Amino acid sequence: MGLSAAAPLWGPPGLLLAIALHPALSVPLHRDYCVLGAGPAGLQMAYFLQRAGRDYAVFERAPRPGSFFTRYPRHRKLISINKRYTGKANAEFNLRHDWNSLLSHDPRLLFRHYSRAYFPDARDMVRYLGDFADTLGLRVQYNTTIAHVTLDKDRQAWNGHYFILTEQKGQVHQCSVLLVATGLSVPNQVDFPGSEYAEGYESVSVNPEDFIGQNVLILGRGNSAFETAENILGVTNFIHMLSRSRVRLSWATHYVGDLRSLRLNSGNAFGKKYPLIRASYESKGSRGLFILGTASHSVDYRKSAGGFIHGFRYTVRVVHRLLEHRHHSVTWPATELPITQLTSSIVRRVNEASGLYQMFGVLADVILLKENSTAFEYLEEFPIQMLAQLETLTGRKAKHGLFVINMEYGRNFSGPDKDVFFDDRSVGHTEDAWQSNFLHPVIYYYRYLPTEQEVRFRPAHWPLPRPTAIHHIVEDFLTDWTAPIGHILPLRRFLENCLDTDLRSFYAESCFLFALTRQKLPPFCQQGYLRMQGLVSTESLQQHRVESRLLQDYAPTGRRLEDSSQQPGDQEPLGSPLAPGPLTRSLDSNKEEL
Amino acid sequence: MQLQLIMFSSFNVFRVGISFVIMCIFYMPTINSLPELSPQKYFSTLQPGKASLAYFCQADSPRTSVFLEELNEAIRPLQDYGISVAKVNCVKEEISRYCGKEKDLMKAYLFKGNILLREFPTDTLFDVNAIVAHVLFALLFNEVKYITNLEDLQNIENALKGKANIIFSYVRAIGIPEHRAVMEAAFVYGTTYQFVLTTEIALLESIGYVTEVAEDPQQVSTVHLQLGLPLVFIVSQQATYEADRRTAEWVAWRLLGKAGVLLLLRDSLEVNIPQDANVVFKRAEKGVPVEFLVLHDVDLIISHVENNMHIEEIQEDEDSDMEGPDIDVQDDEVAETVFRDRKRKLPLELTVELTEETFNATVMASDSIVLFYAGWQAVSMAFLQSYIDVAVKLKGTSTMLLTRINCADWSDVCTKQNVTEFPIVKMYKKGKNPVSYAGMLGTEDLLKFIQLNRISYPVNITSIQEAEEYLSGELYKDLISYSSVSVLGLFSPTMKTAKEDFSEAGNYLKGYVITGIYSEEDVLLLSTKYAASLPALLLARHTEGKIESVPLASTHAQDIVQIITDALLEMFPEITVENLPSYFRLQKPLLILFSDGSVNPQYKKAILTLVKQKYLDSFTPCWLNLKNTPVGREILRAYFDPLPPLPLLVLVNLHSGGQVFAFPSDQAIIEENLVSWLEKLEAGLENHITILPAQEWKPPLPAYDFLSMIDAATSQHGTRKVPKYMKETDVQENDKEQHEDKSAVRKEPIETLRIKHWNRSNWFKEAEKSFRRDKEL
Repeated sequence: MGLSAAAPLWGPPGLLLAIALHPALSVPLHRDYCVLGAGPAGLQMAYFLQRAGRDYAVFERAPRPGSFFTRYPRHRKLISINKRYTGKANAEFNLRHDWNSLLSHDPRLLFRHYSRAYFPDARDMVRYLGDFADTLGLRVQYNTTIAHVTLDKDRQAWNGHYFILTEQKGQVHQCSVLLVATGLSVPNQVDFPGSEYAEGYESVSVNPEDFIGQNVLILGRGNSAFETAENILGVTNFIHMLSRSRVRLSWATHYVGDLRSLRLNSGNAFGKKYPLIRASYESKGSRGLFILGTASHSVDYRKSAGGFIHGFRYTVRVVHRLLEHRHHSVTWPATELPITQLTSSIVRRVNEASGLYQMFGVLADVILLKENSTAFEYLEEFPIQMLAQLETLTGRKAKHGLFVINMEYGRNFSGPDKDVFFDDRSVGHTEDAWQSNFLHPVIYYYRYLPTEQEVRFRPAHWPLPRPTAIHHIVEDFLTDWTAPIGHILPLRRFLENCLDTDLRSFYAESCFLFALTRQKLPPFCQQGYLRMQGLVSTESLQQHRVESRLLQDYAPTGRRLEDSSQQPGDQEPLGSPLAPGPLTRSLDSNKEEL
Repeated sequence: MQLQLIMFSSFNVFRVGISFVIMCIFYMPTINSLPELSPQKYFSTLQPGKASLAYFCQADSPRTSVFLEELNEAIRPLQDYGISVAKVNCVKEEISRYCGKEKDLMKAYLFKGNILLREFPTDTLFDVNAIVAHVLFALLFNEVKYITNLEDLQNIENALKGKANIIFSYVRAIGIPEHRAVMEAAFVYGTTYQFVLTTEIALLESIGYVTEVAEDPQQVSTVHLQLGLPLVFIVSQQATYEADRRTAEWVAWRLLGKAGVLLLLRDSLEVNIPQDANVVFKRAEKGVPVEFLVLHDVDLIISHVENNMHIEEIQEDEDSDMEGPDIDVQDDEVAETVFRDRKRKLPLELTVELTEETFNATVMASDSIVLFYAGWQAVSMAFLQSYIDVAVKLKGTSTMLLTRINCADWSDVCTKQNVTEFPIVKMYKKGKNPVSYAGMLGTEDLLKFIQLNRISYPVNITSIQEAEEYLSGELYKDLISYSSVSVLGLFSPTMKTAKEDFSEAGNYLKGYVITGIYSEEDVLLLSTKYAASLPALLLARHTEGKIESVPLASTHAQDIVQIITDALLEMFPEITVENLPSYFRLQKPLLILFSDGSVNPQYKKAILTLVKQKYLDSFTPCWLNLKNTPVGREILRAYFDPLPPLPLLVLVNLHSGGQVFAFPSDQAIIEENLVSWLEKLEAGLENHITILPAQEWKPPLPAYDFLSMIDAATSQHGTRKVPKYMKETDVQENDKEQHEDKSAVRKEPIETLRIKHWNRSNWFKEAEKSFRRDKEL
């Protein structure tokens, strides 16, 4: 225990934590996990720890959860959307439009049951967080202020040291892992001649009458500045807004922390002083110390949603999964599936996953191929900056190649001052998919797991190192990537060419034919038909099969099979079975649903 | 011999050029600079048979000039044709005769090996197109004949009649881009066609594109129709002949390469055509009647033709793509058929659609079958049809509730039920764990599964009489059509573990085969009757009316399952799409008797005799009824050419080597012949008729190579000088500039860079072509 260990915990000051050298006086209570703060991030972590049956405690200064929201935003309107009806039933998908709910197994604990407003009132958030903690029986110690945190070196400890937390009242806690979810609640200090006359957002009056007939200068052009301006607009002479940079509108930057509308705004007026942490949300200074929630936003600052509930509910789950593997040998959850399900598993995720969508560029799905590419493991929402360390962090093996599924905006699109409504901004043709501008799925294929060097020195503006091959699924305004020709077919071709195999599906009759006329069978027949799970066609489908000419009519026309190899690039003899016949269908059929 | 005129915007020509450039960008990034050599050094580098273009200049001449820039540009294209380019600096010490005396008299020389082919004053090589055109023109002296008058053309035509096709091309001048395009085309196709080139417009005009006819336009056929081009007849009569002829010539000139133009002489015509018609239009498609038109303007004729050949043009475009099948066309039969069938309405109401709210309540309330599917997944949707067919067949008769849940909507429910792939069928019965259906995804097998699951297995049999009814098929009369075999496990009451294991096996096989258990005190009566020592299985084959006994040596559930599944196999089964996998599993060569209809009982008897005599132990004998399994014909076509008359007996060595042997079709299928054939086979004296292909299943078509497209776009950007660091004040301006720049780039490269090739194999092929040409040069 000493100064050197404790001091560099955070570089910049500004977190409410004070670090001291007080040796513990009372008998310490041991906890495997200590969570500081019962805000949304702290409660989210508590939920995962509770579900996993871990030994944990949450310490909260205030008497109830979410004390931040009892005071902020000052004008009481949240800027996080609460879209209660999306036209879809898929609960996972709907979380894309629900920016306030925490993750849980209990559908009653969805924010839409707490507010009808699209931009809800902060009081509803306080009520929601209280219910979340109570209903799930989370172990939170309220009215508990942690006065000191020290490090106690101990070889037996999980991380080589314990975190010693001392309450104001003197009670001491010994924690193996410390999860800090205290948010950012120290305001930016301004310092210039005359700054003593400035009123901070944290204390400014919210009563417009206090500003009647005045000239007001607002420093900053963020959400809080506009929130304040809007509130007093009707009564002032002039409002000047001054800022170092030009106004950033979030529809131009895709960053939810930027101004989302000129009318509604709040929050986020506090500094850009985030602690130094890794992409795994662990402190660079002390092993076993993790930063959750708003304070973890440095990982994706100005890029993704990690500073907001709808982002950090997923990053908190990432931290939990990393901890489960590190301390409890629970490998990162994954589904193992036969290779014939590869295309479908990707289509399913990109169409419904919320974590991928909210935390684009930060969390990505990873597919680990098994030997000979006959099967794969699907891992959801892995922090992509940690890709090189995937094996040690998840306990899974990436020996035979991998796919990474990331959501991306086009590179031409985003940025302050760019006209997001320029002509031709949407891409409709499959071959132009790589130029898609709106958020769309991008699949990276690597033969080998990239190294740390490769991740660090990746090309500029690339979220990941240069892959062996890349696929963009063409953008879709409704984020519906299920068009058979426009989305699924090109994806299959990409996967086939990466794996050097044929991933088409076949009816049992075709597999029967292949089984008796070829020495090898395509994966779909091997994994389905030969295991007595072939797909039998119905009369109506059989008729379409004949008409489509994908199936050879059984009229005698001489030997043909022997030379109808399905090699890429080979010109297929016309009329060979399953060779693409002269089907003419325009690409406009993209939008036609099954 | 055919005379063809080609337009020099042809796709083929440019395609070659483009893929070369791309190849070079990625593979030969270093060969961009013009090598500068001394004369001595230069001549030492010349290789026999290799062409080389050298520009000789004074050492003190300016280092840059317009010509040098163009020459530099030409390095890459010429490199693609195996022609090297160099700049030779004439120095005083080394006097070469190629070094001119004055600065402005410097020339470029084309060598092949060390033989001088041509010298070019620099002003003829005015730009990169001229350089490439002139150099290729010199090299392809024989492949491209330059002519100036009609006589030359006729001589060439006469010489080649019946031997080769001629491509006649007209360009306005030598050295212009069109000339280069012709030369590049000639480089690739020069061995296939005789190229004839002229710059004389008079020659072009004198050829005459207009043929005169006096027959029924419906019957007229020219080379144009064969090429898929329509015909335009200009209707003429004596009085206006001269004017009509000029009109026809003019139309022909305008429609060059798009349609054939003929002058139809109305006066000598035997068939009647409408009085007022002055133009007849005949489409290239066969059987389409000709159109009689009244058009008073040449432009109207042109636009009529152009508007009506649109479809043709698209097809031509696809043909010239030279990439075979289009990768945007569906080649997955399941996806394609489901898509084609998407508008048909299924009687979905026969099944209950479940949601998150109703799922648990429904499967708890009644015995249910649940189909988990995804609305966007083709295999799911194909199977949904069979599922609905099952519902139709069971309508009003089953106690089992048929339900379905779309996992695209109710993802969480599916995940909670451990469903991670589609489609999945599960059976939920009160108080029991859900069971996943593992059979064929088709109506018949699923129906069988549902029907057999009306009772639970193994059935507990309690009296000898009941056991006999069970074995005779009386007990479950309505079920035995779904399970041709009933299994009865015989145990003495004390065999506890054996009974448990058997119960486990029976439970595992529920839905696929009927199992029962008998372990009363009087079990010995049964074991004696069927000569089975306990524990044992009795297998009642209902179709054959036979009961066999199998001793249970091992009583592990897994082994029992194996014994039962093996016992379900027949000795000489009719092989079908549905049952092949069970026999395929045995890994033995198949001895298949192909029969057009039911198998001849005598053949069957002969083969069964051989089976009993153990001749066929190393094979799986079976027969295939082409009436039930029509795909069998396709199989036969893969084996035989030509197809001998049926029946046919073949031995297919599926699992090792893929050889197919045919029993001589002139021999009768009787025991002796079969035995001697098998003996010859074993001795290696029979020749196989074919070997099944052993190719791996590779990607059917390439994918879009987005990585290369991104690279190409990036490298285009890279050539512009972008300042490494931007000053604060510059940001705004730069932003704007880049933005504009991007939108400009967006249009252009994408059009040209629609590279569909995934593998570079096609580029290599093109490269190979050029290397082959190198050798010929």
